[in-house]
Amino acid sequence: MRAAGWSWLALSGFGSALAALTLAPGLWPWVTYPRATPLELLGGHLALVGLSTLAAVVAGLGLAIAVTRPAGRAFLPLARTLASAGQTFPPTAVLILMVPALGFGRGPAWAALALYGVLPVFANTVEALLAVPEAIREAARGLGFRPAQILWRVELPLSRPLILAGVRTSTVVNVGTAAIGATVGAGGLGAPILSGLVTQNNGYLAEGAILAGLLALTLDAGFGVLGAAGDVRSSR
Amino acid sequence: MITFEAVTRRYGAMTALDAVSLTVPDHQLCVLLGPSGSGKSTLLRLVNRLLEAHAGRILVDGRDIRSYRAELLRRTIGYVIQNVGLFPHWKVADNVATVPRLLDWERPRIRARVAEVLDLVGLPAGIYGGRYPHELSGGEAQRVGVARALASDPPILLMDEPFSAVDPLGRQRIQGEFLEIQRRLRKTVVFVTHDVDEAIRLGDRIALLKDGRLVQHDRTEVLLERPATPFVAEFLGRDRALKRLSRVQARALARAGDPPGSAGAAPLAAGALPETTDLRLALAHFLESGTDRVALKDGQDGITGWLHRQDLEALARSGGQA
Repeated sequence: MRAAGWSWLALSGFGSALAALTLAPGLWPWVTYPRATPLELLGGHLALVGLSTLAAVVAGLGLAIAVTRPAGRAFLPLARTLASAGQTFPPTAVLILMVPALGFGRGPAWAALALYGVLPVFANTVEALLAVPEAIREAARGLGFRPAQILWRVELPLSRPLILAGVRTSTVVNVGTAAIGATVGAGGLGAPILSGLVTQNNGYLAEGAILAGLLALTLDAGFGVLGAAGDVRSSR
Repeated sequence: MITFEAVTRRYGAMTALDAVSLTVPDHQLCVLLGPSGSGKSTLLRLVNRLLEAHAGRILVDGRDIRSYRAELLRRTIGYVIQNVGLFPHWKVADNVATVPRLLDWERPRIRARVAEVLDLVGLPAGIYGGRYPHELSGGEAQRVGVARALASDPPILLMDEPFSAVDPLGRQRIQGEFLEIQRRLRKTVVFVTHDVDEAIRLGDRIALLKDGRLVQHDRTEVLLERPATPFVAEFLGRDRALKRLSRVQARALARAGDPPGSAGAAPLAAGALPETTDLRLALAHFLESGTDRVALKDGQDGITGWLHRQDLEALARSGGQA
């Protein structure tokens, strides 16, 4: 079986487990977290991850494109250094540091996730754009593409697999980090985990952890499917 | 017609081209020849403004190329590069359709034209159109590169060492095919190479460059016959006489001979050379066989005349004027 097949299998497996446990909580009667249904918790978590990752992707792509254009090229070494230094910070530290700046609640969690999520997208996009062979760029220029056309029709499509890998990393890491967001009052699947830790209630703990784990696995498999479908050169 | 007027180009402190003036007449293939670092590639890339000249100007059909927008200028000039530069995420047909799409042609017209140019380079669209570049051999990829450059039928073609990455045997074949295409299409071609044999085989004219200066520019026969400086003579090689012969087909010297006797034409055709054989190969035939004349045949094995060794030698001494 090819990689695309495994990704489909994983996606449907993890996805249906996630859906079943969320939509039919009767399946696991020990679930007792009283303040929200599994669906509400999952929804809150997805909103946290989705919005922050979206912002991260836009910012990461934009920055990467900017520093690989002739006008922004001077900032390339600096931006790469900052990005790799940024990735050595544990995501939790970024989250906690946001609290003094933005207080408690969804705001700081959202900002921390977005900020941390930028790095893999940025780093991968920069590497991908720099890896586009000079001959291809030269041919595109020589045939009469405008700079924006070279970017959209040649550079970004060729960079797609690496960019997608960056978005994948960013998303999956954010699913985990968002759970820690409960410590700063961001809600989501971290809420029952935190509550379970504080009250030593394994049921709460299991509910949050299992759903968060399945969500991460589902999203990861989803990106696997996307990646396999988009790579024309391996789709035969 | 492409006219370079005292064109100068520098890279930092280094002068890559120093006041080069050169005219490439319409429908001719002009080879820019020279050692590496001579500026030949730079000169080529000035024509479609991948590089800008620092002094002097370049005219295409009398109009300064700086009066066009660079992208629009490039869409009217075919461009083939050494590393082919096919877009790996596009099928062959999409690669070939690049410039027609940039020019907003209608879809049916694009499809028809893609099939036409792929046929022209010997890659039937039905077989190759749907392939991806990584499924092509080096020679096939280079043919697609040529097809892509010809797709919008531009009057001018720029070729930057287009065949140098192809293996020697494949290169000879693709050169021959390209010559055939050029005989039919009669584009104005600027062709960069450092390969003297390739230059002599393909070039109607050769412009020899050294250290950013034009050393000699003339018809290929003239260059071989009367090299202007010792450098030109040395660069072209000591076997210039042979190289001259390689540009002439045997039929140029054909004499009417005795009609085939009672033995008939068939046995004669067996020992005959194709009349399109170049004289360098014909000389090799004389050296090997020890004969003084050889029959020439056309594509249907019909005897069209005789090539005499003395005519060939006279030509070699006279300087190649057939």
